[in-house]
Amino acid sequence: MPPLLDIEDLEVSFDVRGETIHAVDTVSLTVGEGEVVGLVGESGCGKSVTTLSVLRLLPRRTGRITGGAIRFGDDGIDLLALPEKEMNRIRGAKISMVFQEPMTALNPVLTCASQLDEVYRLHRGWKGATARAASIDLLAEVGIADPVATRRSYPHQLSGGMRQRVLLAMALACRPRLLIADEPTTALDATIQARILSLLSDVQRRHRMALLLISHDLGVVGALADRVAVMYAGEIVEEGPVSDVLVTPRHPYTRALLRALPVPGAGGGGMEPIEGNVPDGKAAGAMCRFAPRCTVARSECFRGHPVLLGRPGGGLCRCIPGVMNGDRR
Amino acid sequence: MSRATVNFAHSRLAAAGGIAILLLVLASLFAPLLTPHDPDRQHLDGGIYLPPSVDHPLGTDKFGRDIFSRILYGGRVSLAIGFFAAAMSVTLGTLAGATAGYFRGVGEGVIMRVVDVLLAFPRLILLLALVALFHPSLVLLVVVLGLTGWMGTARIVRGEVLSLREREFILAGRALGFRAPRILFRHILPNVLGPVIVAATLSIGNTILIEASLSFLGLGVQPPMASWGSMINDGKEALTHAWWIATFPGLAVLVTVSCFNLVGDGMRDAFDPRFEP
Ligand SMILES: Nc1ncnc2c1ncn2[C@@H]1O[C@H](COP(=O)(O)OP(=O)(O)OP(=O)(O)O)[C@@H](O)[C@H]1O
Ligand code: SF4
Ligand SMILES: [Mg+2]
Repeated sequence: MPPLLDIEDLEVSFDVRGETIHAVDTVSLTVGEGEVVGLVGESGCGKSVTTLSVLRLLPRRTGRITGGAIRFGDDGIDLLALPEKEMNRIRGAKISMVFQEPMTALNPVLTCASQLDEVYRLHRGWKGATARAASIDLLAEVGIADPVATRRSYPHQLSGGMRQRVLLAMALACRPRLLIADEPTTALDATIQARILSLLSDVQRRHRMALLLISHDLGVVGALADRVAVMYAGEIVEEGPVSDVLVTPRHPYTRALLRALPVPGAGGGGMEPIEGNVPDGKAAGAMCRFAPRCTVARSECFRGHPVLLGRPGGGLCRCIPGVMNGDRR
Repeated sequence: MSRATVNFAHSRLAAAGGIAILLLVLASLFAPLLTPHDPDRQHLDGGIYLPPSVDHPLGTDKFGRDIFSRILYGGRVSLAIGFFAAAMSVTLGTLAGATAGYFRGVGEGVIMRVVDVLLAFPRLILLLALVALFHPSLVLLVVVLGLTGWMGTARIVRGEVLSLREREFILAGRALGFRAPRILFRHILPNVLGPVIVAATLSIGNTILIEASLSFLGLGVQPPMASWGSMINDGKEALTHAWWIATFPGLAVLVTVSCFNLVGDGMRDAFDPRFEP
């Protein structure tokens, strides 16, 4: 059986003031039925652009998908070739998305009720009492204590955590087969963050829904994901089972990310920020994109662009083989 | 919204303006109850140029018609033209601005160039040219005033829509499969309602003023129908010996337009995003 989502050699660029930015470069990534895949990497490495491409939501005037295919579902239709009308039947129904900012992702002038019911009306044709009953159940399912009152509320009357639950409810309304969550808890404070994550994990398991979880928090990904992909400068640099990639990382960038994590109980200690900035990958030319910041770089790292190769323990790694097999953390 | 209401209530001037407008509208609607005189009834035998008195509180004109009655009945015409023309121009402006701001592209370029060109002409000159082409009528006046008054609203709405379309809830709506018209009409336009209501209110006042100017020039409302502008025109030759004929309709225009401006400004403050929660 083919994977539920199969991103193959995706290339995305932006045209900004006559310049072309290569935000995503030949990214391949799969998410199986009911699987949880984490996508990690520093700010600006192309995580959001990759996932926005799946729903074809890139900014219309500047963003361009220049190559690749995104196949979805049992018959593996290419989403990139679908007419906009067909695409709108997939968005919110088969593939849903929750965003980072619960404070701004709800329409401020509409009640939660009208926003929730709208999803049902659009995709299911349910109206009035049917939609109302369904959305009350849904709000209860995402852990809202008083669904009836919450339905009547305007977004500004709800806390950030409540709004994220409402947004999650809207995303789950049509029982999508794939949920894409782009940093769903980054904007929330720590205790709420933990609750939303466990809720996410709950609904994922209950509905056997696939989840593509974007985060720059490796701890979050470690707790929820089956598989993880690490992105750097628009490309995947390491990918494999969570238990393997996060425990015995092979790529120097993944190792650096793990070293940048706060060590529990060390009072903020343990964090070693990675020096330098993420470059525009393609502009770097034929060399390892991480080389300027890599602590174990050698001269050959600047002479060729490493390809993704199988890594011990499963998955792939984009680093010159000699280097990644030596030097253990 | 509730905060906006509070701010609005605090602005006493705006509230006073709103009450005055309400009274004006009621007075012109219920004119027959407030005055015993027929506004068009002439009294050529000894009833002309009468100064204000108990029987004719604002005097009579050169045909002996009661000024007070004519102001009330003329108010119907002036207010109705102001209201319908403003409704038309604000609707046009909102649609044009929303289309330009949301769909961008070639359409936006065309719409905004038309706005620039129309704004480069003084509105009164444009109106005179349009009105002179056709036989003057009430409908023509409303249409012409509506067609020449939408550009300001279009600019405001386009600006608002340009910033709203980048907001995350629009992206979230697209991610839920909402199509462009739904996003625009159901999710963006309700967020523009505040500025549009302000623009509409200010536009009514402005339209009443312009209608008065046109009618004063004889190109607006045609006799025997009266509007405030045509009444000022009627009285202009008699200004030295019968000042009341032109002065009272002039005052009516002044007060009405000021009131609409007060209410519009008050609402602008009330809808100011800095006061939003
Ligand atoms: N609207 C845009 N216009 C121009 N360039 C863009 C745009 N959106 C993204 N990019 C480019 O794409 C690159 C990847 O951006 P993306 O939003 O995918 O990063 P990210 O990995 O999601 O980062 P973050 O963790 O900050 O969300 C950015 O470095 C930026 O150069
Ligand atoms: S290829 Fe070289 S520079 Fe690149 S990550 Fe591996 S060791 Fe570092
Ligand atoms: Mg992002």
